[in-house]
Amino acid sequence: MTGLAGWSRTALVVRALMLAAGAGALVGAGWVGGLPVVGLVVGALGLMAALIQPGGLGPAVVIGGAAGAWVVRYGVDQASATGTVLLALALAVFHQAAGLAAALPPTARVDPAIVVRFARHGALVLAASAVVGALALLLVRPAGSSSLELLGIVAVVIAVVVPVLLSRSGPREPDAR
Amino acid sequence: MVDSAEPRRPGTDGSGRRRRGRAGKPRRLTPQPAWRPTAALARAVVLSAALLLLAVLLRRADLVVLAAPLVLGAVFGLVGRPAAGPSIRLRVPRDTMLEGGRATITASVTAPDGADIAAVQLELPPDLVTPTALVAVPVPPGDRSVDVGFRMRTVRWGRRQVGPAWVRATAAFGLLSWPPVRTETTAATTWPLREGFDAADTVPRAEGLVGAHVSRRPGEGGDLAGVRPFVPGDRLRRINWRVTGRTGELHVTATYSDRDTEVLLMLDSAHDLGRAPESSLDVGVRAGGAIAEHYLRAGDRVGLIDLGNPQRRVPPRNGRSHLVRLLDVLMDAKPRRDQRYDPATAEAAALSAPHALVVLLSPLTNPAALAAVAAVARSGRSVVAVDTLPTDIQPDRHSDWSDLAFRIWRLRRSADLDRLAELGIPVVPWGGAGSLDQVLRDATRAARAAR
Repeated sequence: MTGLAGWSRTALVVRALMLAAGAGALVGAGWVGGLPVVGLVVGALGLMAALIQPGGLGPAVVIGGAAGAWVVRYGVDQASATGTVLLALALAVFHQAAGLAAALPPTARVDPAIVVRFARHGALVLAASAVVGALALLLVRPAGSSSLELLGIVAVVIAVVVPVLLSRSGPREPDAR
Repeated sequence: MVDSAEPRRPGTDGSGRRRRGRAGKPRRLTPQPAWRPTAALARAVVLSAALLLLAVLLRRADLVVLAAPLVLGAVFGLVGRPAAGPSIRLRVPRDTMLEGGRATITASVTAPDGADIAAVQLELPPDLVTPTALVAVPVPPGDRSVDVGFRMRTVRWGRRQVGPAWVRATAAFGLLSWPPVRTETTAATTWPLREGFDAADTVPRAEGLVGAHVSRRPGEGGDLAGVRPFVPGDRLRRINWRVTGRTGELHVTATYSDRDTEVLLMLDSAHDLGRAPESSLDVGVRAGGAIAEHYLRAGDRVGLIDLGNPQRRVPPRNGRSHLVRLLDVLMDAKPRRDQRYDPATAEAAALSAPHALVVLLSPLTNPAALAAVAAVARSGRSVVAVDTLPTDIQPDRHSDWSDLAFRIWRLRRSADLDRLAELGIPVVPWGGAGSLDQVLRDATRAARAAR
């Protein structure tokens, strides 16, 4: 593995963004304060693994850890809207940055247009997520209802099935000369 | 029998039937390349599903907010997913590269609409240096190809294989990836022409009466020799009317004749001393290429004998295409330890024109080469020995006696050089353009005095 001196500036900037967003998500979710030392170590190791190998399990550990801590922290109570939005923003940025970092070899010379393209996609996703999140927060009924649960189950099914179906493409032979 | 022109389908025999292993079970097929989900997609699907499930079970809308960017990012990304895979093609410059020069090798990547990033990596031999051999570029929309240029500097002459180049493409904003696709290697040739050789005093003794060298003999040429009174036999178009009008007597403009000559290069490739790219063979090949180019440009005939491979002789010819032939043979020069003195080599040199200039390119450590050049010198031709031994050469330390052995070797070589001097063969180290000026000037003076 090449040392950090050989890494491109883009790779370093993207990892710095991952570090800030990942650490912010873990701290903001209550991972650091709410869990014992083991949790802290796991979170730090996950973050480190994500920075070193963003195409591995590290990012999933960070996002899953932060979301898990958030779930544990509030239990069956509703979390504050501001904290939720900030955590969602941090997780989204971390997820997107990890995807970009995994696609870019760290020592490669990177065309800045790639970063712009990813940033534009991220902004679009955040804008759409803001609408969805606002709807979810506004429409929630504290007592709960069967319609909400049904809606949630449908959403789970869609969330799992749609990306899986969309990701399937027929194999084609590359035309290498 | 399978027609080689028709490609086989993977996993089938020539008749189209599926191949079976020894036990009769179908063989495991090699997975076809396809867009495959990355860890980012798996992460988005699993974590968002878990969050949404918990949101339903715990009746917490905030978990929907956390899951929304993951789900929407995956859906938005996968909507425009590509179907076909990327392809890559490698292009080397059509013009031959020059040693020390710069060139751009281009990898042309074509990826389908929907692909995001193409990371292209080029494998290069150590003689081609580039600041970065790994470049990530965005894939342009609309199935267009993108050219990735690798600027490089050629360090050493020779024929080599460039590549392969690899492309690894990702799509759907990092959610899908295609396995690396590679090209074949491509041949690239670097000529041993680093700097032009330039000699002020060109050849000691010219051969023909037509050429580019200015002789000391008056004749039909381009260079002004002076203005003299008209004598019977002078051509009327030579009359200098201005001087004639001023003096009242007919005067003509006198010129020197232009002549050409023959140059024979003798490359001693028996030993390659020093380290590339400044070894003795490197210097010899470079010097040979530069000298050949110089004299061919002047309209002379240049021949070549590789003492390490006497069968590959290039007879003296002129013209630009002849330079390519000479460089081809020069680039095939390889050191051969088992080389012995071949009398036919000296005979071949003796068959060159009587007034040919013979240039030996050698580290002057090989007795066979010294004997050959001595035989040529005795035949009366002008001979120049170009010393290609690196000045900073150091012995390989095998034992405590290495230094002493190296000193003895140096003394012996010095004695050999003295013997060459006794035969009237000047020895000059190669120092690029202008290296042979002084020697050629002396040789010209000596040749003129002898007549």
